[in-house]
Amino acid sequence: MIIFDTSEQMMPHKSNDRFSKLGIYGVQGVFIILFLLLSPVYYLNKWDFKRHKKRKPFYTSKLVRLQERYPVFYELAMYVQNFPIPRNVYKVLPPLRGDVLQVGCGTGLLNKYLRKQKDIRFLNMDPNLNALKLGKKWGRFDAYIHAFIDKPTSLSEHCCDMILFARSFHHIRHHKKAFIESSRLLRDGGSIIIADPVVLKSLSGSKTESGYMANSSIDGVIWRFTKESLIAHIEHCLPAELKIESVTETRQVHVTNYNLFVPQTDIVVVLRKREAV
Amino acid sequence: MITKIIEIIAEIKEDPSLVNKLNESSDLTHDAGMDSLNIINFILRIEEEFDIEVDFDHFSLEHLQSVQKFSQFIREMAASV
Repeated sequence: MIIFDTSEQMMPHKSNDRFSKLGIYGVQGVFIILFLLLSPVYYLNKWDFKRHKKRKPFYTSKLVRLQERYPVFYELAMYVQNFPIPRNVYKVLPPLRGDVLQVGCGTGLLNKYLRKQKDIRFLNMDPNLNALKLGKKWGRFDAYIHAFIDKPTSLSEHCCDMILFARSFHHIRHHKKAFIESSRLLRDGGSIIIADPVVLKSLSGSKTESGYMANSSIDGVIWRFTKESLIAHIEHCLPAELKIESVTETRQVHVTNYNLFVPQTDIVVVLRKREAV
Repeated sequence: MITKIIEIIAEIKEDPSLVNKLNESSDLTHDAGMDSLNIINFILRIEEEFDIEVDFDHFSLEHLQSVQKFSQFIREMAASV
């Protein structure tokens, strides 16, 4: 396994230090302003969420349900969380080409970002039908697959060159099953790209350092990882024919990474499917 | 199934002594001390172990009042697959 750590590349040389620090102070300032503006909604939702979660540990918060039903609110949340330049979250992705299955495509924000790149044929998959319908309505894609990657899908085997989990991996319930299905769909020698935010230090209080699932009032039931626990978890879940090829870390300057409660960073893991003998 | 459920509780709680302390009438929240975070990861582990899918919308803490009651819930889930 090759690990490239590019975390310093966002704040690399002396000449850029002052500019980078200003950027970080800027997004931290924006976070404070946004938090003050949105705190009534946040705390009202959290109060309702905590009340219901006492009886139902998997209760879906009203804010999450609102985003699931009206994906336009999800897009709005993406813009707020990834302020100042939301599309920059995709800059960390390696080059894409060929038949690319996009797992968790949502409303097609990545399709919009890469619309000029003609050598990509996206297969767009998401379990949220409302998001898929909106993405199609807005012309971001013409077709979609309404499915869960951790269950057998209707797609034929060896149908794609790449499978991309762009900020969707933490939403998938069963990663072992997801990798088995992904491997079935992937051509020999193909790659799986996982781009996901991770926390900088563990929040679970667990004695052992491992990923875990939690029910969040603003993101639903999701996995939480540090960089180390994400890699260990992926290695634990992989079938024999898939191997980690590289791990890259880039801490981009946006509101989520530099929020004042749970600092995060962006990880990209590339997996390779073994060539047929 | 009861033994396996208790083993998984001990694994989630990172407390091997629970294997001997818990029995079929033990309450998963009070006797095993599982909090909401433990419960989510416990359910996930149960799904993996018994190859079932728990409907999150229909799951409540009442199913955790005893290991026996939870085992019954798992059987019903398995039957509905």
